[in-house]
Amino acid sequence: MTFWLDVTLLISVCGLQTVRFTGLVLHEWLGLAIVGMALVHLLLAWSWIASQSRRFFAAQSHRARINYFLNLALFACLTAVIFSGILISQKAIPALTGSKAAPDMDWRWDTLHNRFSDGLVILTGFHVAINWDWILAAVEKVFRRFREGTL
Amino acid sequence: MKLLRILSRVVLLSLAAAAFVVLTGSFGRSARLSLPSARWQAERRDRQSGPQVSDFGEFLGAGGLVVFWALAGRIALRLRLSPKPRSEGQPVLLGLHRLHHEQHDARTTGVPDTGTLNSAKFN
Repeated sequence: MTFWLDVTLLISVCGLQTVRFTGLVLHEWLGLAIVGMALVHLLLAWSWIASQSRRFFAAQSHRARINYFLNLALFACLTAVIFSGILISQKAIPALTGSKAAPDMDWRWDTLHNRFSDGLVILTGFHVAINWDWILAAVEKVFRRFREGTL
Repeated sequence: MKLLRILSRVVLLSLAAAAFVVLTGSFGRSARLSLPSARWQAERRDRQSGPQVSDFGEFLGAGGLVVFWALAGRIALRLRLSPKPRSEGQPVLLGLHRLHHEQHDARTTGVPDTGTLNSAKFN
């Protein structure tokens, strides 16, 4: 389940970068759906989050420390992207709240939304990079199950 | 009990997210940003509501960008965080030859040299 959720998250992040391909309606709803997906992703990784947070001030390897800060930055960036996206939403949030969309775009938050989403792509790439061995192992496991017909 | 544990974790994550929202809000209000160009604004206003399958290439491009940063991160993390051990590529000296000679000497003189045995282990 974890693997497929992560694959969906990765595809969603890529899809959210292409508003022209998804269209504005799907872009905004997918952006809101990613909140739930990220929440489940974090809950499934809770043991890691808890142990690393407890060990934060203890002696740790550079890799563990960088991984922790990278994940924290990714969480902060995702929060910023979603928050700024909600502020400039023209379809999903007005539909949810029953309000009318603003007649003109808030360019300040639109610019910030773009910058944060660029940062999100970079951090997602780094997140994939640092968990590369886990991803390879998970892909191998899925392929093995697929070959054995248990999937 | 399990539900309570999950709920407490969700609350903790929500609090962390709320803290970042406050930070983003104050950053957004204080940041000095230049207004985007008229062309960019017009482009943003004219975005389609529905999906455009013809722009699938853009989706692949975004995937390529993630792959690019993943590879860049992979290279950087390998170089910076997992440096080659100093012993890599160098022959490991076990000191067996020296050990053999010293054991022979000890047998002839009757003085055992345990220090050499220990140092040979760590060579």
